[in-house]
Amino acid sequence: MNRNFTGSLEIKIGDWLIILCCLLLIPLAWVMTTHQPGATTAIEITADDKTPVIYSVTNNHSVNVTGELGQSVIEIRDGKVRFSDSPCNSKVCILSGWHQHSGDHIVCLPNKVGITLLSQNDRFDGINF
Amino acid sequence: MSSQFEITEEDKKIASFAALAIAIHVLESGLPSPVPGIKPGLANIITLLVLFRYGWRFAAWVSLLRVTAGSLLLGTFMSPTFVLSLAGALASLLTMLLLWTTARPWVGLTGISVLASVSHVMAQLFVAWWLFIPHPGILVLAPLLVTAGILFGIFNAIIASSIENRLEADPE
Amino acid sequence: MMFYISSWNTPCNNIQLFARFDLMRWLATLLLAIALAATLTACDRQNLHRYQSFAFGTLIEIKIRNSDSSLADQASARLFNDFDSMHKDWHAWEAGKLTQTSDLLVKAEWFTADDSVLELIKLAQQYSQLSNGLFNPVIGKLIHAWGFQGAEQPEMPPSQEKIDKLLADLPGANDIEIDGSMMRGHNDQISLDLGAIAKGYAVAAGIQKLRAKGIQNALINAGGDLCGIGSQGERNWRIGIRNPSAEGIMASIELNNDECVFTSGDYERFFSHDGKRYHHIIDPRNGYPADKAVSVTVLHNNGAIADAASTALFIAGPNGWQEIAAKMGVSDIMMIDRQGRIIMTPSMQKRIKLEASDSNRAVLIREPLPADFSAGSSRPGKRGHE
Repeated sequence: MNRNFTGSLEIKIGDWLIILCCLLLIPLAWVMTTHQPGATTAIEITADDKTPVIYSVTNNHSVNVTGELGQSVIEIRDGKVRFSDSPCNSKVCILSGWHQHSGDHIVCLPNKVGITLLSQNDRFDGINF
Repeated sequence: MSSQFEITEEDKKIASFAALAIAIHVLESGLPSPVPGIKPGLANIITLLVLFRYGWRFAAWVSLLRVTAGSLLLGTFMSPTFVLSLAGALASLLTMLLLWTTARPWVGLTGISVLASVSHVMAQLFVAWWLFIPHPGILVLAPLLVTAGILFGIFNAIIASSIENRLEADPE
Repeated sequence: MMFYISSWNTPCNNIQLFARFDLMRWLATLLLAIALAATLTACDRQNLHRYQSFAFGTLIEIKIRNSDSSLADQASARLFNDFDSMHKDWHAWEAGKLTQTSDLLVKAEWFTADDSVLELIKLAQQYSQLSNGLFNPVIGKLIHAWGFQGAEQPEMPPSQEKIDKLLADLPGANDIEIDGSMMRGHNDQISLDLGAIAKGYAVAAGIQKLRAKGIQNALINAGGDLCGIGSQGERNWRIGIRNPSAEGIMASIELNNDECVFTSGDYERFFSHDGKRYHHIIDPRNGYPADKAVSVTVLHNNGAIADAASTALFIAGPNGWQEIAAKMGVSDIMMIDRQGRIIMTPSMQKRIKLEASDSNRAVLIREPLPADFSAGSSRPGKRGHE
């Protein structure tokens, strides 16, 4: 068998280009998925495939959300949000603590429950009342 | 499948490489991951090896066999995990193919491996977001996964290269 | 999975060499295009300018999407100035052009109306007629009696006697005779209060001024009532409609190119006395705050009409709004009645997206009356009934 390409680790110019592009992808991906300004005024809770529901953060209260594994409890206090209980194993969502910045997300992936922190700037361009 | 050569010989080669890849795939499924189903794709080492020794068609066979048989073995056939595996495999296969057929003088093992790995992981994230967890929060994992993709790409390349060098010493 | 594997022992370089070169170039341009697209969407967000200031007794927010930021700065500053002078000119109780005009009307002699108020008074008269007098621009004395003409919070409703006395000589828009730019009043109780139309007129005028300066995309929000042109960039201007009875947003709507959303509600200005709530939208038929609806939201491309219509329809309530809407030419209406039910026209239903958290409201869809409906002709079966 005639091979004209060895599997040596010699890094060629194309390799550098690829590595560079992929490295650039990191901050690009970060910017495009997280950058959202504005103070949090509401949260949007997504559970499973159900329609997302919006809750205001102005009143302190708890929300029970049923996900794939069971009930997650989301606590809203003083304009901040957190998972206070969840049926997952790792409890990463709970350990991530309180969140308050709009554009932020907290997710309990095993239970398929997600919280998106919204600001007025983000969802609506103006409020009519 | 018609060919000019002894079918058994080539099939054996494909099968043995595929078996190796499947084994790695199964072992890898035990590793934890931030999103269930998204894996670093260590079985790509075999795919890379096969790509460089026997060409992309061979690599395609091994890769797809790995995904299908692996999922059958793990009991995840037709499950979301299977879909994610397939998505990753197809994406990395496609990028490997693209680079292999177009950029070979400029791109070596490392580059192909990194791009394959990154596209593997990004495709899995995208399919996970599109089909299973439409929550935009999952996209926040993107930077993390890209980094992991680059690192694993380099890792895979190193491993594949050392295996290749060892094989060089042996007769085919 | 059919792979053609006939060439294992030949080198894997069956591809044409020129194709390889073209593909590389194609790949490079693709990468470049993706990078450009990403930066462009980020850039568009840069073109969104936001300004805030107090005018018309409320907080006004102006959003302009324009690549020329100095143009946006200058245009919005100019607009705030204009709003300030309009506010002064049209003030219903502080000395200014409008109060002067009221005084002259009371004198019942011909005079030349000031340019700053002529257009607005003409429109107010027109809309008042179309609304069968529910929107009444000259009942300043009645509004004053309720305490809503002043900075302080009123404490007590006026006595029934006082209301009866005011109702006895209640002026209407038709008591103003207009001939070109000359005016004459026919009722010594005339007191111009254009609160129900001034903001709409001002915001609409502001939008047109921005357009005249070459700005194609803008949103002016004057204390909750707004008009928009163009789009936000990545999408249309998206407006959240506040829940009148609770916190949060009850619905959202996306503006098409040139549209205004105005809401009249019983929660905007009010006082409580003896456990009862009295708000600032007075029904000229009985002298009391209108109590048939909780809020009315109107979508229309003319700000002045949207403003006046939301007031008139609010006063009309669930049983009388259709005729008024037809006459005033508004067809996108959302009303919330005292039971918390939503009454919408079908065309408004298409535009409004109700929030899931508010989904427990009953929704009634009511056809508006046909546009050729004319008041005065009693056609049985044509009037809407609930």
